[in-house]
Amino acid sequence: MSSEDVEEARQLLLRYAGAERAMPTCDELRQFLKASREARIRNPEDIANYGSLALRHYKSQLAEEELWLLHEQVGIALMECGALQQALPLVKAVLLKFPGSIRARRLQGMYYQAAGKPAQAQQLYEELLSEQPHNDVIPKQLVVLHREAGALSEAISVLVTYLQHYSNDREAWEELADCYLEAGMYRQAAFALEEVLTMGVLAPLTLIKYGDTLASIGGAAQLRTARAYYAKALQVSGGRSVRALYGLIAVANQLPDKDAGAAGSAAQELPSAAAEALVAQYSRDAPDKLPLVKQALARYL
Amino acid sequence: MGYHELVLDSNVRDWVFIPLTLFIVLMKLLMQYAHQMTSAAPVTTKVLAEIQEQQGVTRSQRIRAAANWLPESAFRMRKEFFTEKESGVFNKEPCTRPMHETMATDPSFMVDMMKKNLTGMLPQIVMGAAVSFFFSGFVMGKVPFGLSPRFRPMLQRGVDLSSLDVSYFTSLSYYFALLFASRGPFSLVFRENTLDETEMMKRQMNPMAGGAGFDAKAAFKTELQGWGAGEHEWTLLGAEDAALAVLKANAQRS
Repeated sequence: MSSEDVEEARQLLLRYAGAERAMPTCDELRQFLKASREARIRNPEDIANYGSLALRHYKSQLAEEELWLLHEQVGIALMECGALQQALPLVKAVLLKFPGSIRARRLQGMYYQAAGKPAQAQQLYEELLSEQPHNDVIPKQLVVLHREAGALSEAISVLVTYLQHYSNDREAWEELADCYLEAGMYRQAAFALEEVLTMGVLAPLTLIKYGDTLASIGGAAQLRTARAYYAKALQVSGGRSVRALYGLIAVANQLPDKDAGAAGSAAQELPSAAAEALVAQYSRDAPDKLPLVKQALARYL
Repeated sequence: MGYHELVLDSNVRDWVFIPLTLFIVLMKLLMQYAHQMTSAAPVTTKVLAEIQEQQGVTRSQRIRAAANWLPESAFRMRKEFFTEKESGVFNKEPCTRPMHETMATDPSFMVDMMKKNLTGMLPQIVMGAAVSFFFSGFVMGKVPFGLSPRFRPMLQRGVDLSSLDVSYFTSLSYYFALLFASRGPFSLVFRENTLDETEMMKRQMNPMAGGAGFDAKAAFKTELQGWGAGEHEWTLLGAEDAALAVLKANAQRS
């Protein structure tokens, strides 16, 4: 299942949008909801709408397992849309059916969070964690909780403990890097980003973020390394990544003129080439900002 | 072969057919419940530490694979973390015991294995023996359609009468057929918890191929060797030249 499957299913359902009193069939609804679950697409409004339809009208036609999966999925979507009143009966039903389940109580915790009762949610999550210390979903909920409350250091400590055990969770490392950046702890953020860098896909965005972090740490060696990462991001994106171009300019601004390091003459020519590329892109895409850009890059043009 | 219509004696029906059916259904129910009771997931105490080790090995492999994308200082930092003489991760004693050692030393593990075996194949074998002792040699019934002679060994276990029409099946064959066929109705009643015999038999075939076979000591050794081998060559060494080339090419094209 992929996002294309989800889109396909969604298009099928959209046909019913305008028609009066027309109801999608149970299978079409199930197809869409199942595809969204498996592709983990976040589309709270659609899921809440169609999911509620399915639960209201086709409850008897759903298999037991699917029924409760739907409860969870639609409950979460409703909470994301802020429709707490509609989410509450779903959450209660799940708790009633699965009284001791950690998954059910996590749903309850999410409801507390959505209802603006973070203290209760935190207490619940910590209880769940003490019951099952090796759970990998609850720590993430705690992190969300702390970040929403602005308690960065708590969020960081939960994440660090989690990552000590589950050290290959890409999302968690990215979240940690984000937290560190927000807290201004650039060296630690660089460490977290290095972990992300080693995980498969070398997206230009990760390279650029890492370059940004290194440049923020400062110091000639870091700046030169950052320059290399910006250059790589530029190469990977075919010379079009504006953030990488700006990154190169920023590094050049801070490094003394003759300092090329190991990069040789290419490093000397790069800033001016980048400035020209930026001017070209702006004149193509945002010509009204061109004078500002030219003024800022005057040194290299 | 004569076209003899065999009629089932009502005694046979009362004392063989019905008891046999009841016997099989009850036995399966018992096995089902026993399986459910004994397969409650055992709460492992050392789970966190084991997860840490396993994930640590994966992390080490990942870093080594992508090492050349990291700047040298980052690489050296991690290398030391993993391989340092005293406190490096891979120089410490792993706490995950390999499978065969667990078998030998950990008593609860042995008990678990025994339980699995007991609620598995053993009852079936015992039942099979009991059935063949008590209910052997009865013709149970007739399959409503004609069959080729190849089906004789399947349907007429225990009765070696070559002149008997192949459509008649005996008690032992009936026992086997019912045993496997009842999986269907049982799955309707018990949903996912149904004792799936075919799965159990497969599991019996490969007792050692389970996920618990993570050999920490060997993995640690492999990783240590891996870190020792090879130098760090930063792939981004010529990145500026490449970027410049791309920019120049773009400028020329537009």
